[in-house]
Parts: sequence; structure tokens; C-alpha cells
Amino acid sequence: MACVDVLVSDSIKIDIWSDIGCPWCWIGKHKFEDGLAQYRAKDSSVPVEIEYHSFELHPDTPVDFVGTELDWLVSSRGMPASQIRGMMRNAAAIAEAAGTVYDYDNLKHINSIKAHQLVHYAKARGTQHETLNHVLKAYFLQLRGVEDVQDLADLGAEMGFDRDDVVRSLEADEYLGEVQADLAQARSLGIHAVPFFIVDGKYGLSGAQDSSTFADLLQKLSDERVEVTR
Amino acid sequence: MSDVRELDGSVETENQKPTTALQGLTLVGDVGHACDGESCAF
Repeated sequence: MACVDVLVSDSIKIDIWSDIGCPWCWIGKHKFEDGLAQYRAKDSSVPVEIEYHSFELHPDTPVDFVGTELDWLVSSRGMPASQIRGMMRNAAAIAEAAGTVYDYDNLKHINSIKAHQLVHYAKARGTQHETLNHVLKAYFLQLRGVEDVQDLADLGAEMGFDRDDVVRSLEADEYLGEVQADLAQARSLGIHAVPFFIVDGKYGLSGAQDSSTFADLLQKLSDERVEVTR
Repeated sequence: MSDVRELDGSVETENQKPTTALQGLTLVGDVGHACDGESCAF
């Protein structure tokens, strides 16, 4: 009788650099998760480990800046509003096709440094993914504030954290060092645009890729890990 | 599998900004839509 031994080695590791107020990170996250679901639907023999890393697109944004992304690009980068609006309409259409929303007319342009610290606070407590999802949904879908310590403390409390402790941590910049370490790692790798995905430390995927690109790569790496002996 | 190529310099497609060399990584797929510090390549 044939004997089949399946030996599965380590999980597939995916490191993702992204920013909070980054539309292509939001859209790319949906495409990535769709690709991951495609892979898992066909082959769940090799687990996938995902770790998110902070990236700051606009560290020069004043924390009291009031305006949309369009306002920011016009005022800080001198881009024509009509050109920006046309591009954003295109992004919104791609977001819709990916199953989500990019409400560029109403989203506030943000400095994300404190939001990243909240995600690291959650990471230290084992809920990085859930908290990042909660922050992103609050920002992109509910149009809530994700800059102010009090707003972020509300989000943290909704995730089950002690609200006062979240305020203490954010006011003390307790996880600023972890955010800066992520930024430094991105710089050392040559990453200057996000989202950026590194798979198994050797494959790089830049930007909001098609879901099939993620699914195909995961399948390839899974196949490589599974040794079948007859 | 999608297009896979070694990154040994800049990669640029019609609508995208170039991606500078990434240390030791093999780039998979196209250079997708992304944001950098200047703007998003919508």
C-alpha cells in the first residue's frame, strides 16, 4: 500500500509595511486578504504568519492640520485640485471593486504617529491585527478621528484595553521606539512607498497587487514546503 | 505565478513611480498602486 508522508516546515512569514491614512494600503489590504483567503480555500497545509509594520507617509503633517487629503496635497505639494480629484475618483473605483470604500471627499488627512503607537500597544498584548483593523475601519468607514490621544483611547477601549492605560501609553510615547524601529527597517530595506509586502524575507510585493498575485505566491511557497514521499 | 524578477535597479510601469533597489529581494508581480511621501500614484 502506498504510504504518503507530508512534512510541513515552518509557516510562511509575511511582513507588511503600511500607513494608517494610506488609501492604497487600505485597498491593498483588502486585495491581500482576498488572496490569502483564496490560498486558504485551496490549501491550508502551511500556516501563514502576518506581521504589520509602521510606515509614516507624512510625518511633516501638523497634528492640528484640518483638511482632506486633497487639501493637503494642494497646500503642501502644490498639486492641481482637478488632477488630484480625478485620480482619487479612480482610486475610489478600484476600492469599490476590491469590496470597500475610499471616501476621499470626507476623509481627513492625518499624522499617524499616535495611531501606529496604539497598534504597537496592541501588538505587545497579542491583538495587533484586530486593533489595526479596528483603527482602519474607524478611519476609512466611520470617518472617525485617529490622531488625537482621546480618540485613540476610545478605540483602544473598544478593543478591550484599559482606556486610562492607553492614554498613559500614548501620552508617554511608550511605543514610539517600536514605530521608529519599523521606519528604520523600511529605510534599510529601501522601502519608500507602501503598502509593501515581504514574504519569507526574500520576495517583495510593492503596492496594491491583484489578489491572485498573493494567492499564487503563497501556493508556490506552500508547495515548496511540503515534501511528499511515496 | 505572476511575473517574478530580480530587482537590480529601478522598476517603472506606465502609471507608477519607480521602486528603487530593495536589498536582496525578488520582486513579485507588477509595481502596484502605492503611496510615498509625496503623494499616492493614483
